Amino acid sequence: MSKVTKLKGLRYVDDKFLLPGDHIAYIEEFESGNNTYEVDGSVRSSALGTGNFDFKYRRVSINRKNVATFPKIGDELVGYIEMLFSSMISIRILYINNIKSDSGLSAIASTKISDSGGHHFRRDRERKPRFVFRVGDIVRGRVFSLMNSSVHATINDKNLGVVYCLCNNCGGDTVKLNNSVKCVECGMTEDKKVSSDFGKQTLNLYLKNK
Amino acid sequence: MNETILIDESGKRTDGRSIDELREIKLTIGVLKKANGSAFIEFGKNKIIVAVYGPREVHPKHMAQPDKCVLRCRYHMSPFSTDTRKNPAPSRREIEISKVIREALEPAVVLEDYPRAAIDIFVEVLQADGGSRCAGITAASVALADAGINMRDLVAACAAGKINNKIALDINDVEDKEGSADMPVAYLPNLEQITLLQLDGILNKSQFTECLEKALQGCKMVYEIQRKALMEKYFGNDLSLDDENTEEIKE
Repeated sequence: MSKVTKLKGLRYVDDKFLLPGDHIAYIEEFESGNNTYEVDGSVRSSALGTGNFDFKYRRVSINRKNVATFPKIGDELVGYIEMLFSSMISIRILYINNIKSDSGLSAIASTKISDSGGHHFRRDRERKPRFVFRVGDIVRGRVFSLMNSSVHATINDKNLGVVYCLCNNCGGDTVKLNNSVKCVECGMTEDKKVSSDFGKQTLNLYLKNK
Repeated sequence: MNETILIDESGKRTDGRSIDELREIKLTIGVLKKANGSAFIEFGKNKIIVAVYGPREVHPKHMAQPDKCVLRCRYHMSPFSTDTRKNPAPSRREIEISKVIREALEPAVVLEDYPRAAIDIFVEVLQADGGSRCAGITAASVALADAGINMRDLVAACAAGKINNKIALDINDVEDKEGSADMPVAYLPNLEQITLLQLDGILNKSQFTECLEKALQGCKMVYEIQRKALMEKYFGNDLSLDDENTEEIKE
């Protein structure tokens, strides 16, 4: 057994530095966790990082030092709408978990937003949410499935949806008004599923990745 | 016909090495800012730079695989890499080496983790001195690890060959041209799997076995250099820390 650093309770972190292919444990000792794989009865590392031995659940994983930006379930994506379908949008991914991605991959998201997500409309029962999405709108979504090797994202949450857009009429700047946006130039209003931090996120991402 | 003397009476080769000695290897990681992963290797007089891009979108799109990633490799020799100018257009040899490098690396990369994507590897030979495909594979493997791509193992490559009827490790350009056999081998050291084995020349059964064993020994030595380079790049500061705060846990 190698040297380990004690953290909280039953959780320990190995101080051993691991490279791809390094033997970590035998399958009788530990189960294979994140960034590891099993071969011939041995658990090996598939990434570059430090071992994380969970003695409670007998599982070993790797805290990796570097990771290729590829969407996984639970990741937050920011991108622009490249295509519109009747009830779906295709988002060209620009950032994954606020890290710039040059992968050029796309995600698909449903434009059908449930009432639970659009709680603003509960006061007005007559009004049904009919959000307008336009090509070029910058959207934040969360990956919930990678079924059929496609990235499926949802925009049905308070902090998800359109994070920035320009006016469809004049191309002017827009401001958030509940679940709609209003152009500061011409005053045109459009219903959009806007995120809680509409207008701020694009600047933050730019500054972070500058 | 007189055979060129490649090993002298004292057992030294043309560049002063013994038959079991590798050329000097220097490996630098992360040399290119724009690439997702990169490495520069000096393998004797070989100077090779490798860039890895991806996983990224596949173009043309019909090449995308729904269940796994596409690994693409381009081996290219610069016009100034050899004695006489080399035409920069891809030659038959370069196309073949691109293919064998890709096939040597494919078993090491967990392609299933990146469906509908592509990983591009560019191997650019700046100076060639024999054994550039092995040096290219070695650097490409490190560049893939630098790009954060999931891998089953690193790939280490080294050649062995027959010169003056003796089996020698890591043959250089002169030995490659004047010698009687050359065997490049790529190897997954932890999994103990061979991913590339080529042979140019004629060897009998015992010579073949000896040559393969020598090449595998060379691969293991190359692997230690790869390992050291990656450790220094990623754990350079941590490696020097003393372990006062660690405790031995025995179960």
